[in-house]
Amino acid sequence: MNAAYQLLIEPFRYPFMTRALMELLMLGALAGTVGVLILLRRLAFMTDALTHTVFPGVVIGYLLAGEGGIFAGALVAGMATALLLTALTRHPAVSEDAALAVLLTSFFAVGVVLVSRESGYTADLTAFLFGRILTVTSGQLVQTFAVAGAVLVVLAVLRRPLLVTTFDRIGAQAAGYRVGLLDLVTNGIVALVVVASVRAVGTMLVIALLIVPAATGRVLSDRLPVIAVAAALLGASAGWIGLAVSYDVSLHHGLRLASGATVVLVLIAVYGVALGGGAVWRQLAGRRAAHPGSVHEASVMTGDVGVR
Amino acid sequence: MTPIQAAMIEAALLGAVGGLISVQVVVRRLPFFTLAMTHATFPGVVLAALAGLNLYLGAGAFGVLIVLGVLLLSRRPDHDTTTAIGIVLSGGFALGVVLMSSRDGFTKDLTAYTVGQILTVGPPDLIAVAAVGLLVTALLVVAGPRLSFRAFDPVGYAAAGHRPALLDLALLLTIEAVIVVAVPAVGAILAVAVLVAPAAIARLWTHNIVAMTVLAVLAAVGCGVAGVWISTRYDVAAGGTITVATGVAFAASLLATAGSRVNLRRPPAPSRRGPPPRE
Repeated sequence: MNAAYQLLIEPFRYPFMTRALMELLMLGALAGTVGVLILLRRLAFMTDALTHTVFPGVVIGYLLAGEGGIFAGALVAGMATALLLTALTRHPAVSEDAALAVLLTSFFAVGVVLVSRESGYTADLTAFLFGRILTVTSGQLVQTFAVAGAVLVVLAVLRRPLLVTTFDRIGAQAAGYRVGLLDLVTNGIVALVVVASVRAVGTMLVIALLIVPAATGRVLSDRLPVIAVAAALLGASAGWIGLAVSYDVSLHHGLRLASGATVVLVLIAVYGVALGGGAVWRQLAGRRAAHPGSVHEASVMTGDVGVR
Repeated sequence: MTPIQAAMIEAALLGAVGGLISVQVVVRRLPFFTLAMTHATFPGVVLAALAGLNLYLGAGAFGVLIVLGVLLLSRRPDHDTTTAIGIVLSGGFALGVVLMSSRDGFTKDLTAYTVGQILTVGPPDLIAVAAVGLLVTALLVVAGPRLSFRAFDPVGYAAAGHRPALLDLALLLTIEAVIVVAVPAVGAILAVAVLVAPAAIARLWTHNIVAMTVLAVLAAVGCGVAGVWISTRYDVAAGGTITVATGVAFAASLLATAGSRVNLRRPPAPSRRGPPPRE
């Protein structure tokens, strides 16, 4: 008990750690929830492309207006990506995955080239790639809170049309939903979350916050509300544990661990445990359901359906 | 040989190798897989550097493990590959970063591995790229027609009595080998540009797979050499400049081929959104 207190509560006596924790809790919960949408729409590659393409925006914003320009720069780059991608995939000879790969690397490289003009280039690049969670300011917290509120409201209001479009695109179209507009909203939400997370956890690790909690939730259940709640809780708690572990190891064991990356490894570990637990559970359930005809039901009940 | 000459040769060789393999990556729709592999190879590079092993051996051994893992995962019928790949990707990258962050001189080395340092390559790097080039050429000469068969008619390929798993393994291992030799030059994040962009450019000009391969090699070599030249002239990061050059070449090809014969020969791709229903 005392050890748990030492690990999980004690580090957050410092204001900078408290702010980092609040930022990660908000981002974890937000990214976990939005991650369910990404999981259902199979947008993992698009999300990864976005995390790379906001990078030049971050750099340009920083060069033009300092720390304050990062958010705006990332936002512009995110929106530019969404537009370019839509235009590119309409081209008959360009497949979506090739377009994504070319866009992602070209945008990212523009960022690298611009950063490399600066002196102290490597330190800046690292900060942009992996974020500076420990230097989060109160202003940033307010910003994150506003983004989280806006995204959650949009998700709540558009819940029905978004779900209908996800599971039955043609049906949704026939029912009069504006499917193209809903696609744009989906991409916009993902872009907004990526942009909001960039300064804290960096462009490279946002992808884990967006994908892994939802995938873990999917392993645990096949009911959407359960997945969404589980993903939000997982995202937030992994942020907490990762931050605490990286603090503890760095301070008491002389082994410096990057906080953002530690959070990701905690997420992956939880995912691995869920996968293993799911497999064991399935084995047990399979043995119990010995009579013919129940095999399919057993696999559905343990969440072994489709998306993982 | 001056560093700049070595960098030029490295860029040209890497362009040729990447151009050759990129056609297979694009026709088999493997860009996302390649992206994940580049990120997942990263901890292998870091581990090798920490243990003082040969970079290519360490990263290569790690890469083989990853290829086998992905092959096993992708055989599960109920698996959504993009999510699995996303998890492998972020996990691998985070592992690499954590490993790196425990060491001194963290940011400088990290930069070298993520965006490359082509100006520090030496003869061993050139030999490694050339060797992988031979491997790629051998694969394409021996199994080129089979690879096309497998790409365009997987069911027919299996029905004809071939073993798709074996061919897939050979292809994925070759892709991983190219990634491993590309990392020192352009870094783990930008390596995917070497392995995808050349074919994406060539694809705009032709549908013929042999012509596409030739064009891809030419484009990649040109962009590589131009990138190194510009980067030394204006003192910017070389890996980034090479990648921007391929991006510019892609955009220029897109504009140049807009509405040309090649694109008109095919009916327009069916729009996923479709026309709105008539009232």
